[in-house]
Amino acid sequence: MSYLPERTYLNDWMSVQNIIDFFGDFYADFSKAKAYDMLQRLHINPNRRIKTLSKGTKEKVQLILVMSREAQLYILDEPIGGVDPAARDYILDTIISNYSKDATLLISTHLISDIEKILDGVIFINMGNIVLTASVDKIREKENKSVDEFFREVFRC
Amino acid sequence: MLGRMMKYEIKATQRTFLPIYGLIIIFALLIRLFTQFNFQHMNGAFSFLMGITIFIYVILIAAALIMTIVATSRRFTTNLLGDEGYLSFTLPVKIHSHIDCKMLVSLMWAVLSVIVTLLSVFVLSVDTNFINKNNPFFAEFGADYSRCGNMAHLITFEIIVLVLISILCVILQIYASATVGNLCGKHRRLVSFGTFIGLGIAQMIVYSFAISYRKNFLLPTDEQVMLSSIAANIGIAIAVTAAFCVAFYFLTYWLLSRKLNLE
Repeated sequence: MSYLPERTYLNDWMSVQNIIDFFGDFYADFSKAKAYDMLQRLHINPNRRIKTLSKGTKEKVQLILVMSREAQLYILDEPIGGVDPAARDYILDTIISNYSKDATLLISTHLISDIEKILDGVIFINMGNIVLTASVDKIREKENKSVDEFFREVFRC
Repeated sequence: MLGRMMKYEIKATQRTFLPIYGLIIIFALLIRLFTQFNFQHMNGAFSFLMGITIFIYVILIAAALIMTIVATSRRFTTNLLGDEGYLSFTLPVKIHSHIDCKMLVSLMWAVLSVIVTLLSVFVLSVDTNFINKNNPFFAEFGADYSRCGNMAHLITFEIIVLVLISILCVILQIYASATVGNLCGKHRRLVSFGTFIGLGIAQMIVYSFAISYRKNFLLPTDEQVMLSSIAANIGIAIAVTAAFCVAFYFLTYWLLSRKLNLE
């Protein structure tokens, strides 16, 4: 299982390269080549100290670390919460193109409109209780709405 | 896995300690240089410079010892009980390994701080007369030590064990206190500090009971009997301290495995 928490959990004293070595040391399924490739595509210098990175860049680094593992289950908690809108599509492409094809990807988010194009199924949770479990196709067919529009309707204040 | 964890733990903490150790040795050498060449007799400026150097040296010694305690607490709190805990506790390692790793590295820095301090004192005090084999201090000490025979070896060994286990006990007391404090949402630091004081008082009470139950606590006049009594008392102190180490370790382990709340 590869888990991305909502919080920034990186050790500030490390450089990006250090944290990649760290993951390589602890996770047998971690691919350093994949991580460096993603860093390059997202224009992140591996020699930079984590302390000097912006919140959004730290989140990108965390996502890269998590997606560079060959896991069976990926749990991503608000993976694009701190990333600017322009970079979100790129991050989503990164997620989609890097997870193992036989793996399950579980994403917890409030940014539904940004993320719904990659979803197969959704679970709506309110106050810790499951309100709805459905496939994205069924919601679109039955309700004739996007997941985001349907969510706004279900949780209207 | 423990080896890998210790590698990163040392990397994370060495930036705090190594510069202080280096500065302690440099300032000890500077003071030694001043005294060697009697600079203080040359003029007021050199006297002032030497005074400043001694002052900084003393501050550095204090900093090394304080930093050992502060770094022990801070590293445990940030790496396991703060946001970094999300990474630490999702690594494929057991909770025992987290505690063992931090405990052993903190013990290593504490011992190194003591060694560097002693080394700097040696640099300050050593001269050709001091290290001379005919120095009466060494001669007298050697004679006394030989006369005590195996008992001297036993007491020396016991003192080393007691020092190490006492350092370990303080480290584990800090871990247990920080973990208890973590259970309280708003006043974590206050509760941690209160727990540390409370555990310290509990230790003092147990030590007092252990010593008061010793029948021959008052030192007898016969030298061998007296040495045996000292060895036995140190042995009891080691046993009591070890018991506290085990208690603090398992309290920390139980809280981290069952009650951890990273929020």
